[in-house]
Amino acid sequence: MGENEKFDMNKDNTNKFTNYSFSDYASKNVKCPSCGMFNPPKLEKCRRCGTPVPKNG
Amino acid sequence: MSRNGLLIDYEFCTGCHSCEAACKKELNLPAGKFGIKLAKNGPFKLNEVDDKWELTYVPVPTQLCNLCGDRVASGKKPNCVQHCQASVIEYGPVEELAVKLNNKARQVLFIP
Amino acid sequence: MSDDKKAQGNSGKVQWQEGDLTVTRTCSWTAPGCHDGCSVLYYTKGNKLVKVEGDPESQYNFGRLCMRCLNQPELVNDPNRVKWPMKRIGERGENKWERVTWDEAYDIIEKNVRNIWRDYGPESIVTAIGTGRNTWSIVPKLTYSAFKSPNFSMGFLAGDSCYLPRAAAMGTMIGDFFIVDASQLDERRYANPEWKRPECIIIWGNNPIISNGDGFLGHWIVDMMKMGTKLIVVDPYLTWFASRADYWLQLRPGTDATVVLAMLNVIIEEGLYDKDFVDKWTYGLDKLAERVKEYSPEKAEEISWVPAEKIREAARFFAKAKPASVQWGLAVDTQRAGVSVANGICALVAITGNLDVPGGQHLIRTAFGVDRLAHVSSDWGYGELSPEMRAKRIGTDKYPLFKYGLCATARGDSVLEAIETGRPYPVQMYWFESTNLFICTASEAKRVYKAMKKVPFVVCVDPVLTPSAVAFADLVLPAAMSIERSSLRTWWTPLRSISKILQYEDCKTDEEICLDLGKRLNPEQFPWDTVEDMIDWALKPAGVTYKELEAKVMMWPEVHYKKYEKGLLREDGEPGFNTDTGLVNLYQDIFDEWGLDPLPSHMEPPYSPISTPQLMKEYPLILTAGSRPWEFFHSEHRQSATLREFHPNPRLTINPETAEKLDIKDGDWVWIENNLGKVKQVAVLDPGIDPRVVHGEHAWWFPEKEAAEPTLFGAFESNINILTTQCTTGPTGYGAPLKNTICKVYKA
Repeated sequence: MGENEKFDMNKDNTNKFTNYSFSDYASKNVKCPSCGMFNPPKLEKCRRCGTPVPKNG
Repeated sequence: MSRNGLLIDYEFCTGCHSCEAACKKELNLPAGKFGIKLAKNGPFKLNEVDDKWELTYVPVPTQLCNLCGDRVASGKKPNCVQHCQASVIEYGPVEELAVKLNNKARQVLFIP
Repeated sequence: MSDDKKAQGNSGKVQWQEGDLTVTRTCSWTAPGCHDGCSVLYYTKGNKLVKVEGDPESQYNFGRLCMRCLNQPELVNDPNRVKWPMKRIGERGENKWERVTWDEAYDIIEKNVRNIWRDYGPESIVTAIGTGRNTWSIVPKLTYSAFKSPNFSMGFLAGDSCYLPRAAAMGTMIGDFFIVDASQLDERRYANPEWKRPECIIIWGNNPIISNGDGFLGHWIVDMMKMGTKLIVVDPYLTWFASRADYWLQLRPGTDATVVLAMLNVIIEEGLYDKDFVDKWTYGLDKLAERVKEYSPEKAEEISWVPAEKIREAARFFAKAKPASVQWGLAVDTQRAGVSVANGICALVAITGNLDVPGGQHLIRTAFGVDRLAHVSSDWGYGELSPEMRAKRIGTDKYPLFKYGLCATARGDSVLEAIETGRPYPVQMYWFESTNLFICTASEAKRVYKAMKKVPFVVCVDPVLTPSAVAFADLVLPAAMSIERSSLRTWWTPLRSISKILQYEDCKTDEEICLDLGKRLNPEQFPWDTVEDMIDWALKPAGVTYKELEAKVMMWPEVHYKKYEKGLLREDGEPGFNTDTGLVNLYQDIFDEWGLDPLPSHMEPPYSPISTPQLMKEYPLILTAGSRPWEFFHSEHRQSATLREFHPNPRLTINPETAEKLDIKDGDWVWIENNLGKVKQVAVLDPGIDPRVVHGEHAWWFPEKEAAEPTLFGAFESNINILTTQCTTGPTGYGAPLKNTICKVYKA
């Protein structure tokens, strides 16, 4: 069941599980190639350093 | 053979009452009776110049304290010593505790 | 410790005999309650608990125990506990009950739930729990999966002011919970070579040796003080820690934001922050720097009463200490600016480079990822609700942070308004489990009392017949205590088993009640035959079964520091933090999107010398409330004769100067009064509190008094929350002035 799937993501104790709805927000954003900040996909330039951000394929 | 005692580091006694409660349970004492009882000093400001305060607790054993002879005989610590949340009560032979007493300020050694 | 173990001869054993007593090594976690899950040895004889001791082999509490656990037998063996399911036969408040079977009780519940589903929709069912309890995981599951409602709540707790504002702040700024690193993550504890002793800890708005909040055992700080850790204490009262602090910032209650923002002002202006960390891992320092210019230490002094020079010195002391951390507490939450205070403190530990370093502010998740049953997470089953149903969670329409904060719940104030007004929809059923509503969590107690009387169907699950049960419940279900329950504990680490040793009368465990009802109402979401099956399922990430864990008693996971460098925080495996930016958000774009101030700021309490100077003539004292006593956990433990010997009555702490002016002597009963009502407590004269402030105790009721109304166990006599307000939060919806209102005091 879905619940199980979500829960088992951390079965190897990798700490890579998404327990909280905020993670959904976090994972959709795109990483700036220059400073490493994640930006909302709609942005063309990084909010932090102004470098153009690639579109998520 | 040496007497045994309780060495108490009152610099770090937080006044948590665990010693009193543990003792009451061990000796099965009714309301109003204690085998060890907290004394409190303060709070008061030590002086007006800096902002240092006196707030000190010291647990004092009473005449009901038997140093938990039965517990000690079975390999355990006295109940107050084990449960003290700040671990400031030490039990042992007075000679050994006296050496420790000399190593640090704000301590007191009781021989109940 | 190894000598002691040998001497005991029972090292590593889970159960053994000592004379005619059976000894069981396990963990204790509510009820009776507290936030912690200490390792205990239960001494039982047949089906009776005789005594409780700390487990000397545990690296969690090292054999120590507080007076509440030592007195557990008085609570467990209390003859006045609820023994079997009871159906109300008189009017609400008359305390007239009829014993029913569990099946009869479940039939009544099922009939009501199905009728509400049909006539009003599942969202009309609201559930509530109290703080720090095992019910934090199982009642959400019951709510979302069995009742199919999105409305799990912290009762009427105004502004959800218990950890949730801090959790929300950490969620959007850092993406994870943090905790002071007392090496509690590693079985070797202080001997872990990777761990460092914190040079400085700020204790902000709590007294952790008593409150032990949020999965942290306060005496660990005392351990570290003995090793040399220095303290800064931010508290209106001279706590034991404050008496031993290098800096005690005695602030006016409810002005914490000015103090933290002024500290940030000093640290940023004097360049005392960790530039390397800020460059690599944070977003928006320039904007935060602009904002904190508005909060000079002099401005902070005006508002908070803390001398500017002291704020400066404390800020420098903290910034230069490596590593350093902040042990924060409830007072952060209990103000309108609660989220701002929390954001400020998050910024403080982040820019000083203390996040996730050894001895700093550890980014913590549950041991082995086990959080079902074992942790205070509120999301079990939430994901299976439809998006339409999730959108109906009460309070989220007006307060978007409630959708996204860690541990988000239905908003207590909004639930109260829904009951009062029927908007956005009426509340038809209220289920409260291990919480004492208007006696403890709720503010404006008389208002909540009145509202609760209106709810058509009310169920209370509790080990004890509380004033809330008598006043409101149509059905009372007897809950088992910790020693009567099979379950789990992480919050945070290690992973511990909770073993069932006794059965008290007809009690059932919270887990059993949830599973029984789940199987009746929505069996697909409860694919377990027994509670043990459910526990085994919850343990899957740890790779053990419940039986195997019981044999080990506890399991310690590996510790990882600087997880943001190693790609251990984000789901995508990238380095960085689990936030929208991957960085620590010193400036929060997302707040901007939600129409909130993206930077922290101060907000005055609704009643204060600055907000309502004219009212101060009538109510000249600032009333703070609810600091924790050693003897009680919230409204619990008042039945214990021993604990009441230590603490017979509710206490109002008042400065001797103030008392003298009011002709009040130590030990006098006094009235505490404001525009909402008056209550009676016993004056304790103490120069550790500012002459302009008094402190009252919370959650008082008197189990020895008449249960039926109007006495209701003395529910309205000393209940300090008669004087506090509901529905007065800041713009985030989180944080309410529970510890910063006003009053007058006079002899009773």
